[in-house]
Amino acid sequence: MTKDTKVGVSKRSVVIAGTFATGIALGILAVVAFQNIIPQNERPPLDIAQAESNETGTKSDIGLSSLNPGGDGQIEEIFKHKSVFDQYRALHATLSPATEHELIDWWIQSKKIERASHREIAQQVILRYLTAINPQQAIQYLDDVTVFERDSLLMTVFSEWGVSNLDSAIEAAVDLISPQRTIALQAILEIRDDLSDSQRRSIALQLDGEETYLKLIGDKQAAQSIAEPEDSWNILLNDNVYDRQQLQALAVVVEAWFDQAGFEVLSNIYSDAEDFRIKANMTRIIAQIDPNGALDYTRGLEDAEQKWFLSYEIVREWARTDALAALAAATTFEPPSVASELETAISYRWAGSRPFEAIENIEAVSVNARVVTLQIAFANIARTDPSEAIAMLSSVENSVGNTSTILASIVSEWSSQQPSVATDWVIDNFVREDPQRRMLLEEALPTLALEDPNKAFELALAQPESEGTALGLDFLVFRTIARQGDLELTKTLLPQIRENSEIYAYSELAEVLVETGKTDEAFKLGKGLEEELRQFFYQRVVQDWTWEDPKNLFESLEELPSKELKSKAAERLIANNEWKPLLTDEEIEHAKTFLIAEDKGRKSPFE
Amino acid sequence: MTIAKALPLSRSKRNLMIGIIFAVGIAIGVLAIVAIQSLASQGEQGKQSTARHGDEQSSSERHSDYPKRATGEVVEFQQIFSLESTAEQHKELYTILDHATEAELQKWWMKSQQIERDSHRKFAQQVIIGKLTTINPQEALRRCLDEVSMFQIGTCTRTVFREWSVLQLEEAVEAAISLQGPRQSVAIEAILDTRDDLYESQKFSIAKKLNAEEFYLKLVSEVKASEVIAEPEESWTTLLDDDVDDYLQTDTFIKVAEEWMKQIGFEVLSKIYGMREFRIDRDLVIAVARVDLAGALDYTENILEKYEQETLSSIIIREWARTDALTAVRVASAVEPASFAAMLEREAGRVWSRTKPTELIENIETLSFESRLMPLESAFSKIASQDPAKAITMLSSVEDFVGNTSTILNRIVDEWAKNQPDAATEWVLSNFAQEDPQRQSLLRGALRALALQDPDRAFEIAIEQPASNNRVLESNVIQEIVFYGDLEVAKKLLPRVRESSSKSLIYGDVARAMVDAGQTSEAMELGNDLAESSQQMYYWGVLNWWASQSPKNLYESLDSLSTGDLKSLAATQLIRANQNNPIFSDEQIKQMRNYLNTEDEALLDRLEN
Repeated sequence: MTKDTKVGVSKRSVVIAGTFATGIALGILAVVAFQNIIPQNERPPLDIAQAESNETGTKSDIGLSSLNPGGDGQIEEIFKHKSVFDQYRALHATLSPATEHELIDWWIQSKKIERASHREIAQQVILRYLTAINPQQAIQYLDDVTVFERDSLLMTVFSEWGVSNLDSAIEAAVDLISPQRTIALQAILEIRDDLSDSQRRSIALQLDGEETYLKLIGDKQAAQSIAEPEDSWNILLNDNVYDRQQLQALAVVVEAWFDQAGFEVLSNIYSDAEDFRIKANMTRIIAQIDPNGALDYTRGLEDAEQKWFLSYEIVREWARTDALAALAAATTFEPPSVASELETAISYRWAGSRPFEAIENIEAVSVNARVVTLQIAFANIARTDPSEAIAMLSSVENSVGNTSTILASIVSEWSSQQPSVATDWVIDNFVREDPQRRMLLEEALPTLALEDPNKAFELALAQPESEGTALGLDFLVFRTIARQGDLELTKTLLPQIRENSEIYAYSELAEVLVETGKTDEAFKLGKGLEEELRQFFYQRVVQDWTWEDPKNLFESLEELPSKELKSKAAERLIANNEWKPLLTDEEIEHAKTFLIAEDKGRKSPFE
Repeated sequence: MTIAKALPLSRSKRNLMIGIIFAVGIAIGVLAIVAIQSLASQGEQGKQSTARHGDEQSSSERHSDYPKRATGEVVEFQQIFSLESTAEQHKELYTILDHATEAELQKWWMKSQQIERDSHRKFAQQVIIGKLTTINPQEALRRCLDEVSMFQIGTCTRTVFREWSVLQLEEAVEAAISLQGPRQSVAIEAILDTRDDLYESQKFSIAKKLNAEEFYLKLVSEVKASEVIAEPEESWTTLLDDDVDDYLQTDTFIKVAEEWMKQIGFEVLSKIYGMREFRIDRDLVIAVARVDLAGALDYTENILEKYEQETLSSIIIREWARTDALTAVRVASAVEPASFAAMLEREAGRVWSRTKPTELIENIETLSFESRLMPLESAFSKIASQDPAKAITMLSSVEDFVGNTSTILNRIVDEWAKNQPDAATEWVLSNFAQEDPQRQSLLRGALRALALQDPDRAFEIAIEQPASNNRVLESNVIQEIVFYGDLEVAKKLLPRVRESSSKSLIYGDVARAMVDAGQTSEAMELGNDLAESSQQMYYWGVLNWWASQSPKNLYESLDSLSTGDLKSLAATQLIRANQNNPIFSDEQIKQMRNYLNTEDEALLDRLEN
């Protein structure tokens, strides 16, 4: 090879090598530029082969979210997974690389998911990722959901926020209204169980939720002792947390305790829990597990009060699911008086929860309890369909003496919903002289009086006057109006009250005037009355006054209109003070100076 | 050929070659960088795609790709939970467990039990159980019931049934049937909540199978209520008018109330009152009022209807007093009118006395004079239940703040006697002379308690005390024995009860208990022990009770009553009782009328007309 040729060859080689190297370099640069300069949604480098082998083969998993994030099709794809686990997994895989903008789009699309269970899953995950990026924004989206969905999503937000930025989570929680603040606090305290107790307590105090913190601590201690459920029980009852806020934890403990100790736990519940609601709720937990066994346990109890309380709660719970079985068990209870009361409790509960079933099976209820049971059942039905209730009445005519009181309960319920309609029905279907008309109007008119007092009063006056000791319809209406606080109308109606009702009406008015601090008005009103009625009225005022505000009456003794009345007032004050000693001994001595001869001899029933 | 003969390439050919070499270089460059990145991402991401296309490695081989240390298992969880956000932690766990076999899940489960931090352990176990359910739901359920803390069983069970119900609904329902009590309730709820794709008839059928129709109706109602929540009043009505016990829907009512409050403010409190659902009104009112207790109380000041005002304001002030009694009392005392303020103070004081009795006693002057007594009675009673001596000692500290302390002392002794009736009784006997009227009132409470522990002794002490105002203490003792003790003991002691204004009443109490125990003939005979002047009232009471408790039995016993007057009285009671509780037919009522004497017939006519 000549020198020139050698030079030519080496030059070529250099050119070839240089070109090749340049090509490689440009290829590398091109890929890097493509990935970095043109936005790629912060995704890690793609493995196309991997993406192709992706099981769903869905566009969402392989990052086409940048083209159509959270599109309907993609959400549908996710929920094509049958399994809930896979739905979550797919959501996480899809949303993890999403930007805030994409997550917002996903959120918007999630609101269109019709199926609630799917919507809940989707929104939980979306919101969690949104919170990780922009919690302040995430919390705003809670305004998009209903109050029914809000709490669990709020927990999710603060669960994430409490981990990613505790301080700002606390700051945000401070601004929430009380119930939501409590939820936020709960989420933070639960998720930040890495903090010391004092740190968590401090957070709770900042958020005005010390009780939430104490509850958490109590629950934790109870959980730690659960191998000895009785210890857990005592922890929860004796901590500084309102027991009614710990019903869930107490229920868990009671269940564990029952597993260990059997029905004996019922006696512990009864004797340890001071709050009757705790006693009742916990008893019901056991009754849910084995009502028959629980009731059998109570048969052997000697403490009558405990026996009654527990058996009552057990059968009432039992009645919710199987009233017939509960009735059968109760009939064999001893003593018979308690058996009878249990049957009544079951029947009433049955009528309240499954009225149709109770009516159909009314023969299973003891005769004594049938009428009231049916009253409850029919009233229940009347709440939504009074016509149906009335139509069904004939089906029970042979099971009771008569159905008049049942009809009354229907009308009572009906009139609470539609007082005018119910009243008109009574007027149209029962003649004036029919005693049942009066009975039914006793139910309807007081309720009508709340809506249209004048009409109610007119209708009352249009009925025949009551005889004997029955309260007049006019009085019943008058009483309702007086109790509503419409004293002006009350005073207008008073002169129209019929003679039989007069005394009762004035007594009622006296009571209302005293209760509202209008004793002056009471005395003014009394001035216009006939002597006998005035005396009666004043005495009622004084009597009520003694009860309502004895100190004030004592201070007003001098101003009472007559010495007889002063004496009567003093006598009442002295008697009242025996069992409610609000007046000092000196004051009592002073009161005695008002007594006239006939009242001086009278002894207090308490001396 | 010699090199000399190698001719140079033409320009075009050279350019073509350069172009080709250049292109090859670019291609190789691109492929190289992609290959490098791909290898790197495989290493970082671990398992990314599923094996459903059956493409590559077995799960164990993939699992072996996950970083491990020599010490082993806990490391994976540590790595997962070291991620910065819970979102990433969740994602990681779901990804890792995605292709786990049952055997691997069991290992994961065992590892999870070693996680100390509660929040981490709970979440890890929830995901593991969820995945396990997709493979072996029975085993998943077993683990929930046997291997988690009692406090986690509910959440765990719910996770299982959520998953199980979508994969194998029938099996899930069968499994739920086998559960009991609260666990079954959780399962039912999970199934029906998750399978909201089913037709209503299908869901109802499931509920019926599980004897949970009420739960189904509750769910339906709550769905309806949530659909119309933009109009909270409509939601409210939906919940009221459904066939579900309102008590079971307390939480839902609370949510609707909170929403409604945004529209109508505290007026929602009146809506709650209007429900007339006394079992839950307290919870609802508190939930609403808690947002702004002062605002809620202000609202009640303007309510005209007295009972409504009292009910609502009582609940509010009691809740306030539970957490901050001093402020509650201060606020209560400032409301108008004074009678309203006094009522609120009493309510606040009552709660205060139960939650912090000593604090109340020490601050009693913050309550107005009229409102002090009852809370003090309650506070001292509470202290006495633990330490009666302390309660008695503290009594002097409040002497200047009430009229007198006699009723407070009564409560102390009553409470003391519940736990130590002997000691309480002895203390009274030792510290109060026989002539002291307070001795009587204190013994009344102490002997009631002693009567249940030692009825004979209680009775003996009672009859040693002089009668007071024609009342004798042994009446109270007998009464207590009748109501809470042994009827036979009461019957044995009864003849020794001294004459007093309450003797016939006590005989009446015993007689009623005898009627309850089925000893009706004896109860009627017992009246012979009374003076003739008391017998009429006695028989009236016994027959009235008999007619109300066992009317059928009395009806059947009419002929066996000893005199015509008694038969007439019995018939009267039966006819009157039937007016409120009509169990007798008209024919039977007519028969009863045949027993009436002239007097009773006239009385009935008057009453009926």
